[in-house]
Amino acid sequence: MGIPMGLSVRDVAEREGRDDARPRHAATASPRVSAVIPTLNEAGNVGWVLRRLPAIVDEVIIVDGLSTDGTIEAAIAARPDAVVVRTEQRGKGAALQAGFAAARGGIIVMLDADCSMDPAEIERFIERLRPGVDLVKGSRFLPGAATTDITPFRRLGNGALLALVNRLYGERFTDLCYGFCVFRRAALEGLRIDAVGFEVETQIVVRAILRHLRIEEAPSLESPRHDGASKLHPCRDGMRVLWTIAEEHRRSRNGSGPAPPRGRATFALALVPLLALLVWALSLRKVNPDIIGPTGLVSVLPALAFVALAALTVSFCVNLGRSRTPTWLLVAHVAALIVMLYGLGAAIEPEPAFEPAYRHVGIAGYIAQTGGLNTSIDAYFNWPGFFILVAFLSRVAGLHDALTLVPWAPLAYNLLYLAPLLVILRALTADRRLIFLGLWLFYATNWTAQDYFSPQAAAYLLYLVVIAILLRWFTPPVERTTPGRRAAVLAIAIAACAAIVSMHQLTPFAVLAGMTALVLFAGCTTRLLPILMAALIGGWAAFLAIGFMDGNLSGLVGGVGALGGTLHSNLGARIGGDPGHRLVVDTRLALTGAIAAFALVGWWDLWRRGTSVRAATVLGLAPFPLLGLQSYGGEILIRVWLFALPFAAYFAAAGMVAIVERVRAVRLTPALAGATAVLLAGFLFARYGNDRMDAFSRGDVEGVQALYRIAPPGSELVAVSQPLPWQSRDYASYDYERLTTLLPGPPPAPDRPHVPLTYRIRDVLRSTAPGRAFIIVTRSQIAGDELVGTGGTPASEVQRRLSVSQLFHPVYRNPDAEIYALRSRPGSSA
Amino acid sequence: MTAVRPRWSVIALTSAALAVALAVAQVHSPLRVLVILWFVLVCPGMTIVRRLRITDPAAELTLALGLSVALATAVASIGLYSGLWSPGATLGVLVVITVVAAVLP
Repeated sequence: MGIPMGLSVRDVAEREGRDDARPRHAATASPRVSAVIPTLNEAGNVGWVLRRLPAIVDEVIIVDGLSTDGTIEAAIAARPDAVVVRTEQRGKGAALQAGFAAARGGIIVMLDADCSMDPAEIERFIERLRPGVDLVKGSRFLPGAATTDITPFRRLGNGALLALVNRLYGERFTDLCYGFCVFRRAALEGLRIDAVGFEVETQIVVRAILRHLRIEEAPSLESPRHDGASKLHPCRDGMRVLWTIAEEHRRSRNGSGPAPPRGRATFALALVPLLALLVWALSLRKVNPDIIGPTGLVSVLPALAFVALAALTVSFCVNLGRSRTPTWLLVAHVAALIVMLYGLGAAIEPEPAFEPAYRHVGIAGYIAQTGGLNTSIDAYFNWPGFFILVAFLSRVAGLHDALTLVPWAPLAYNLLYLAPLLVILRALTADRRLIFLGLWLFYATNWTAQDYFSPQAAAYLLYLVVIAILLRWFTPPVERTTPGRRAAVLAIAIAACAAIVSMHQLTPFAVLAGMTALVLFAGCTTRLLPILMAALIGGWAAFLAIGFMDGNLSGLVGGVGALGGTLHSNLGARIGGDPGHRLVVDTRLALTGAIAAFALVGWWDLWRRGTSVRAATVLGLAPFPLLGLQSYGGEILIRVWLFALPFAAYFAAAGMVAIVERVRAVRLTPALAGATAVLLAGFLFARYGNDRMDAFSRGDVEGVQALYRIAPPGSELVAVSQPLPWQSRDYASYDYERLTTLLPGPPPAPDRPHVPLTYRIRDVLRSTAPGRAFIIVTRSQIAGDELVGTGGTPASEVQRRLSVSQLFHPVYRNPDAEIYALRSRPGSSA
Repeated sequence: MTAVRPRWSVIALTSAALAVALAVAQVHSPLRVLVILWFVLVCPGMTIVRRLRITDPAAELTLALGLSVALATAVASIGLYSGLWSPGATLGVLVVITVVAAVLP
């Protein structure tokens, strides 16, 4: 029976009205396991192979290279539901490529049609394809395996080529040129197989190694073929295998990986992130930051910037849906997203944003100038690793201070996070859609703004590095490697842990929680590492931070267990302020809720399908016990979300893909593009919504510079409220205070004896500042009061009272800032 | 552990030489800032990590960043806590680590 090219047996059978040719599974249900069997004149063998296929195989793809001996008829007779794909292109690799493209199962089996492999072994292979394993390859040389088919010459060649692969990649495989394998579909698609001959088996193994897939070997029995002659030419095909090994190695050394698809479509798609970046940059040239409204930076962003962001999002989703998109192109899209989202501050804001960043510059400046620490000033000097690093860097880089680096910090940190995040996500899944959608969601929803010039941002980089190392090299299924390499990466993890302990108070506990959870619940083999980390934390507190611990221990441990108070200070006290600020807070809660909801769906879907979720689950949950330790100045909830976000984003990606796949009326690319565009719009509100107070104008900064010019060292400098861009210089030369701290609480009630505000300020300054005191009030402080409120007298009211008071006189004034000094006598000028 | 591939050795040694030259010459320019940041945050760690022959660039960069930041923090902190604060000497130690890791067989 002749079958037209490109038609399957199913097609032909339906055309001929044969009922027995219908697939055993329902036409609409997706098969779970597909067997791909290349054939060329195997009429005497293929029937035996198909009849021995276990019931677990619910789709059979016969890829026939124009057999002339009735192979297809024999196949149909043995397996009426088999799908036959006919290909004119000769070669086992070409046939397998066609078969992989036609297979619909989530698990794909590849085996020969010559009876040399026993299909009954498939069930054992699939058992070994447990969660986390991507590829199970048969081996004829493991204990329990055997071959009666291989000649001494072929055994010698296979051994030599195997030794070469093991040497090049530090592997310990026992077999190479054997085509009995079981893959996960997602893993196979990532290999982009393009070999056409018998060398395809080697290409699969080598690319799987280079892609860091989890490979297991299973013992297999190889018998002589039942009928006909082998198509293998040992010398010719051996040379092709050797050439494949050399070519793959050369590409991996050049960093080019498996050959990317060529063609105009890929080239055009590669231009999209570049063009989007260009349009984004051009659109921001004429932005006026002085008119930032109560909804933050979004209020001044031009429409063209949104167009660029939307184009990048659509392009990313289109590429994500193409199995042949090269990895570098997906990385380029994520990098472009990082530049667009996290470079906004550097591109638009006239001065560096965030008050704490100025303080951090000042501390590093103190260390750079004095070469020492002053542990009595505040806690920063007791965990000074970051500041010492910055002091060193700014000195050798020839910077007057580190303020130059501040605007670029969010962009730089987020670009640095990309590599460890990629390693983390690759350790959790081989599905490229989940890896890159997870990355995209991490960056598109990280509203926490903990990536400014801060010890937290640097410690977070190292947190990601440590978790990446533990997941990849020490948590099952672990990457095969040599003991020496394993010891070296463990040493790097320990060095990173030590740096984290020296930099930050909170992050070491997040690392400790994560590594302990991995050891206890996910089989991580570094059992002593949590003990070492606890010792490092304790040792630092006992010896190098003792100056701080001595006077503040009760304050540090006082919050342990006070979850109610922590939640109030982290949530209740932050939900308020003016309508613009409430919108920002509501958007943050909505973004967090959306990611959490998608993550729950993704977790359920992965768990239901038998994918290992243990490591990602415990790492996502591990930071939450920190809520019971401390309120961390009302920020612990934000930090906990930050530590959990990489894993929440991974599960959320799985949830999005699962939902889209379930709703058959919706196509993957437009659905993902729509969902991520909504999240991105929310991100711009949530992240930059407070910019009216977080970002500073030139007037704000010039006011502070004037303060340092006017006030002699030793003076008390008083900010009416916050934020204020100060303390970036002369950190220890002045006494810095806030009026909200000196005069806490609301103004006296009307029934109490009334003391005018300016008299109360004068009295408190006389008691706290024996020398001279200067009060500064700026636009940023007034905006901060309007947005979130301080509970005390509004900054604008303090400014008005000071401006008309006989007790104070203005010593500096610009449109955004005023400085007042106390008169020695009411009415005098000094 | 095996010798570092020649191409990276050249990049690392050139970066080290450039960083030292710009620092010694007291050049004040964005180029100096970029070269110093590149050298300190990537080169010492990458030169050591390259000896591990890890084929995945993302994993290699992850290890290199972690090791470089840890090394720079440790060397600068040891100098400061021992009363020998010297940014120049700290840079010198990082250069020596890089050169040794690059040229060792």
